[in-house]
Amino acid sequence: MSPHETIALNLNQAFRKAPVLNGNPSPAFVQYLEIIYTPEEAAILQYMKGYPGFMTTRQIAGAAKAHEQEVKLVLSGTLKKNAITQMGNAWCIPAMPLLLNLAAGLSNAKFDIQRAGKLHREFFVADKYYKHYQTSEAGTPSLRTIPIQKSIAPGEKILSSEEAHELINNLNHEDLLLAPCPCRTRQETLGARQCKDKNPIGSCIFLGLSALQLESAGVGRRVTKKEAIDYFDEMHKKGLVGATDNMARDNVIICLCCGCCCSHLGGRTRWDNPTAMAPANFIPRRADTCVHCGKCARRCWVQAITVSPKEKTFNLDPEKCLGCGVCTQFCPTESLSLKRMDRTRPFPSQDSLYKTLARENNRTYL
Amino acid sequence: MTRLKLKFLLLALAVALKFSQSRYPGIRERFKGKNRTIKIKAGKTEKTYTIRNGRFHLTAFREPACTSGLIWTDPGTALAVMTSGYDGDMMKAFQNNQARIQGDAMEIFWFFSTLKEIKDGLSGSLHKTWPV
Repeated sequence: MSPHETIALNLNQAFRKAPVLNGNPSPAFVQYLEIIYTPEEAAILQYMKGYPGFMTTRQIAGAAKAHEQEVKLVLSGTLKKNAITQMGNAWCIPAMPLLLNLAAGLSNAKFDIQRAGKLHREFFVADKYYKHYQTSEAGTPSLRTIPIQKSIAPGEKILSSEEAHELINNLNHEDLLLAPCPCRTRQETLGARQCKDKNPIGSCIFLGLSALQLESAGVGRRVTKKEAIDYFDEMHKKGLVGATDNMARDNVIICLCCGCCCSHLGGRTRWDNPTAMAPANFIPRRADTCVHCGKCARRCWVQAITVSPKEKTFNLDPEKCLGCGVCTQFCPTESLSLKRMDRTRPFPSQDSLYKTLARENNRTYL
Repeated sequence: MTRLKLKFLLLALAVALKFSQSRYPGIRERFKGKNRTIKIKAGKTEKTYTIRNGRFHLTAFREPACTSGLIWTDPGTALAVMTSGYDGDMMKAFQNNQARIQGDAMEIFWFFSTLKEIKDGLSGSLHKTWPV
């Protein structure tokens, strides 16, 4: 077995599974890893674990039967590419969301991004890895939808962290960073971006640990909370769906997703994973001022709304609706607003989400 | 004063571990089958936490050799980071060489994850954040 194959199998032991089919690593994923890690790096990394399986330099050197200084040198080089996660003298292979997006804008290294994109399409879509990426084996989604207050009807109960502005303002730190959206970057590279004329590639808002990791690798631009909120609003206005980790605090990302490019939302719009991305606890309600123009239906990524101008009907499928509030942004008569409908329960903390994903994937987490 | 506060914090963590072990099944599950001796050290201040045969012991017998340790450069940083409630502060301390890990790194991350779970349990936030 090659070092790259061993890395793939080791990654598959982490709480979020890796692209491994019937116990064998997906050949396309192994080739992707070969783009990311040189043979010299892979020779060391094959003794390491996926996030959060941290090992000290000494532990890795012991396992690899190599000199500590030599290991440190190799790992420091890998760190410059952002292809490893470091906590002082402890290291691990990055979590899958970072690893899979390194060649799509989350690293300054010169990877063969065309080939990486094609391989990603092969193991992610063709081999159906997206199911394991978006949800656990039991269907627990790792991301959830997050609307903004402007879309929510006045007087509706909004819990802490349920709304984008609240979430950002309630962060207990100032580590926020904008970095290119890897999903749209990848599709653009492959010449397959369907939303090219509608949306910019734009950025994701990285928070806390992920912001610090990207910043230390020289990726992205640090922003204030206000700048992050303004950016979120600007993208939401363009019709992009706000999404964040499926937890109430410790969030590490806020994505602004389109149904054509997003690796998570795509589960609902392009692939057969209907529980991908948890819906928000809101649903649009229509006022009598509705003129049945159908703009909301055309903007809905998940086809939850059907409008008939002739028959003057408006129908909403609550099973499909994400409660993102994008429809409210495009209503010319401001007839749509989000009303509360409790239906999901985000995890209270990062550990509780990751432990659940691990348990449902038959893995362990810390 | 900082040293004293840190000493108190390290002792309080030990008491919380002992208390939570008897109160929360999740914590007992975490300790199950574990044999770990974890040392937190900052300057001359240090505290060892021993889990033997799946049970946390406040003091009791002679402690075995440490299986892992988190060594801070100074008590001030240790106190500030360990009470901040933000994981990024730990990462920044590591980036600035203000802390380093000895022994089994995973044990340290496991230990802090356990403390977070205890904190959530004590504050009740695991249950009250989302009433759905």
